[in-house]
Amino acid sequence: MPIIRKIMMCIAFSLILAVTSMINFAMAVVEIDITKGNIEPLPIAIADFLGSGKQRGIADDIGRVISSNLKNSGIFKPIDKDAFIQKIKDSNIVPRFEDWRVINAQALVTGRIVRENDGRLKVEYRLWDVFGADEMASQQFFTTPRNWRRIAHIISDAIYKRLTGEKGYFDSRIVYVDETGPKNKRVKRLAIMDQDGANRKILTRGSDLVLTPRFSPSRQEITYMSFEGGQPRVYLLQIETGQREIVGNFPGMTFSPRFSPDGQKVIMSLQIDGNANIYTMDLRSRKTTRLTNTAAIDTGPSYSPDGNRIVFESDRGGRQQLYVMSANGTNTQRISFGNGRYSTPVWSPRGDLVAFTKQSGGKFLIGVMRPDGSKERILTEGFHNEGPTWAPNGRVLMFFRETRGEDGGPRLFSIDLTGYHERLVPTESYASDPAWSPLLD
Amino acid sequence: MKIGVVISSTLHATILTWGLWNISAPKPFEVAKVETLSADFIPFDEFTRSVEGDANARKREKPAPKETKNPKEREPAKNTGDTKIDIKTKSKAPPKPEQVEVSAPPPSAEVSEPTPIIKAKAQPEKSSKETPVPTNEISSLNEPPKPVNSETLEDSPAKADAGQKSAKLPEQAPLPVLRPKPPKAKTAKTKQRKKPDEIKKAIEKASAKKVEPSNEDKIAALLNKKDPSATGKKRTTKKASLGSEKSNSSAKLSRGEMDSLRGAIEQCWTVPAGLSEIEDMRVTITMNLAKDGSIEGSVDIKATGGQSQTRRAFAESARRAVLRCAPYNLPKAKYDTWSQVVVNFDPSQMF
Repeated sequence: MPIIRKIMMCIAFSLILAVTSMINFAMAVVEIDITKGNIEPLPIAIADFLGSGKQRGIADDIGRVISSNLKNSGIFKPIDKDAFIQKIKDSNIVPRFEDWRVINAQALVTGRIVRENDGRLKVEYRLWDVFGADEMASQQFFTTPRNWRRIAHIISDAIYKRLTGEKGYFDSRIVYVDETGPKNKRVKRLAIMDQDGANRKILTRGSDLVLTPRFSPSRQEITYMSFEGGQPRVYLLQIETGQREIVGNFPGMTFSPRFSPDGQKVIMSLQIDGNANIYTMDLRSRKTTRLTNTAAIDTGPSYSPDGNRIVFESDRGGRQQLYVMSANGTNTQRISFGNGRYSTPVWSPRGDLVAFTKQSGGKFLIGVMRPDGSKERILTEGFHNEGPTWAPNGRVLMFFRETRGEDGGPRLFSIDLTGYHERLVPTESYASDPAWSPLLD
Repeated sequence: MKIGVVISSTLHATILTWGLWNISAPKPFEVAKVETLSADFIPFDEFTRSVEGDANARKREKPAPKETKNPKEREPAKNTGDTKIDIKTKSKAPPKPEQVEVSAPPPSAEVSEPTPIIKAKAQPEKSSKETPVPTNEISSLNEPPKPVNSETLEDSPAKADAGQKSAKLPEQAPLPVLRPKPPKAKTAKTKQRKKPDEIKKAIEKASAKKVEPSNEDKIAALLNKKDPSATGKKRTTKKASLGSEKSNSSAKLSRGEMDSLRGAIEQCWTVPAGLSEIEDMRVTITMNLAKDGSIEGSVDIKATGGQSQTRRAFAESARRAVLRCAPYNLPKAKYDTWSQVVVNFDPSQMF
């Protein structure tokens, strides 16, 4: 008994000691809550990529493309090279971090290009955490010299992913409607380019009006609407071969097409008489299925990334509003309840948001809301904004904005989800109806 | 008509001209240029600590109001008597009260019961011879004992008790309340037992000479109820000082200092805007700081919420923030307070 009592006493005593020491510890600590920060872009230093001889030029180009990609994302701010203190001579040696801290670089990219014996290029990069004095990532790629731009995009994506935790979107393309000529006699052609505006290529001749091109999620394929033959029809176009075909053999006009997430189906509107309903067509079996059956105009369908639900616009309630239904056409629910008219809904590739165009107060707004209709947020507004499309990572939207007047015309813009970073996407001529491709493989 | 117009226009012109000069714009309100004062808000307890001290003393390291001294321990009771306090002076007054007690325990209100009984047994014969004078004198001070004394002197203790009970009952009514003090009685008892001769002598002396000192002592004791060494402040052995030269090391960081620390980190923190589920993510960084404000060792990072990739990016952004902000400019005097800093990053309110 006395032993047990002693043990008990010992335990009690040590407990008291522990508690008192914890109290002392707690008293010596300052605790603060940081609930806001600075939403300025992250300063990043992109040192010149090293390369000798012919590779010198490519090395510079790669550095420049990476820098411009990161800058355009709005999340990074590449530091002017003139401010650099250390000149990187060997990308395999740990840089002098203090030199980079002085110019307030939070991350540093170094790299080099070597020509292999078989003529290919070896491009390698390293990403350094300047304040943590650590290497965050490093990779090397082998490719033909012609492909240097893609390598630059891939490296940009890797840096973006490492620093933001999100997938990048730089190694992707945009298909859009290229517009030339005077306003009353516009020539509209399908065009494709890299997301940064490089490598533009015209896909159609421009003899017929084309609208709403959409990328296939799985193949180098586009679906779009064309007035070829006088009646608007949905077409399918192979980008590489230029081969075209009409989707479905419908009696009326079809419009507003989009691929299903697996790329196996095209969903679109078919108008007969005054009302339009939503149909899908299986690209393999060519089988069509009707999903809605109302006396209203149901259009602009877009699948959720898991393919289980569809968001679309409909005026069945009197005004254009957004609705969500199951992929088989049941369980329809209205999700937009704000003032104004909602149109062109697009489900984010991440599934968390639906982007839309909203007409309200004489303006066109681009906004996002959750698929249940909550948390509506307007990202930008103006005289005429329309047709949002999601970047592959679901963090950036591209849309077109039309300017007023005789000489006015549409231009492409991108904006990130915070609404802070809006920028013009450079195109050679007017451009509308952009559609973002998935990441290239 | 014309005259009217002329008069009217003249008067109007006069009034307008007068008004032009006299009812002009008021003088601009001039504000004296005053330099702005920066105010720092500190918590009450810190203020209290910083100003505590003795206004007449000089500054020392730590503020202390007044040097306190150990209260002199009271010596164990040497004397017994009906005073509450041991009297230092060598007056032999106490023994007299003993006598009183012996004869009449109840009236000597302060003395507890047991003693008298013992005394009564031990001393009746001795005291009976010499008591008369003292008893009388004491009785002159304390009215009630008087009759009792006389009785006890005459009778045997047992009788005296009986007599008391019968005769003085009403006066003794409060007695029972005072009973529960046996320890005192014990000491008194033992002392007395040890030295009966001394007591005897003392009684002789006291009875032979004046009893005035005991009166004075009593009065002094009555007046001086408060123990001089017992002050409200806790004891300290530090020298009295006026405030402290450096601020109290146990003081907390003031609100202003906390705000500036927070502001600095907020400035250093580049929030990875647009991260998915950023509002659900939290990062807690614990860092140990050296006295110069630099970070000692590596920082401890705990992140919750979001996907693993985005969580890592978010945690790294927080780490960059604290690393970038170092060294921290914090008051060196309060180093004990900020030797460890915990920073909670919570972006839920940002977006």
